[in-house]
Amino acid sequence: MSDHEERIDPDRPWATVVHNDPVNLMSYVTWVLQKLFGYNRDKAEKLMLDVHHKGRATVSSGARERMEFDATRLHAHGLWATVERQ
Amino acid sequence: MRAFIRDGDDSFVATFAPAEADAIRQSVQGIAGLVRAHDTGDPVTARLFPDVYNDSSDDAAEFHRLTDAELTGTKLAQVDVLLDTLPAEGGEVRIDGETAEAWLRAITDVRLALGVRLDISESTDLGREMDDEILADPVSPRAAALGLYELLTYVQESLVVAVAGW
Repeated sequence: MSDHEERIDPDRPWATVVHNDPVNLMSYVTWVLQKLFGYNRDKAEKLMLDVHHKGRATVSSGARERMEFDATRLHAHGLWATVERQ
Repeated sequence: MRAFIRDGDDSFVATFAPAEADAIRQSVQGIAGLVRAHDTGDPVTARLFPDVYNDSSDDAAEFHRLTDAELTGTKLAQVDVLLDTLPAEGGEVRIDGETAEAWLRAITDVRLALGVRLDISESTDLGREMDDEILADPVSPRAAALGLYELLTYVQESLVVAVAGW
């Protein structure tokens, strides 16, 4: 696990994971992560590069319902996201 | 096409040739048709409406039941925004930030659909695919789809950089 990926926390048991796809542009994925989660460009780019190189990255963690909301917003932007228990 | 640039605080400008405007309009209309049809056996539908749970098909199905109608509405609305702001005869397009975001999402859906249909993977060399296809048959549907994909990539890249303000 990389240092900027969220650590497992008993109070934040669920995670929203973005998966790599061969179509979405690196610039677009970075912009979506900035816009939806308020991350600065550096953090959004690190997450995007994790998705690109490792195939997946945890972009948020917390209550299940909130993760489902995050995944829905990512789907509305065409990113491939899933919700999983950490 | 002249790529999107920012022109003022909340204004983004590009210019499209008639054939480009026509191809983009047809492609987003195609997406609207696919989204309305919602054929769950079509891999494009699976990509535009991904399973939110990988490990439980029951949970994934339940989530689709609860959320697909709203996502469908969002996708159709962004198609309408693009069609309302891209003249069929081409020319200059001037849009605000909110409209630009709808464009980005609508173009994303077309690129995702083309990615499935053209079987684009990480190792795909689009320039080479394009050359091979044009040598084999310059007017094939695949050559047209590859050309459209390339055009939409160019539109998307310029618009996202302009909107992000990088």
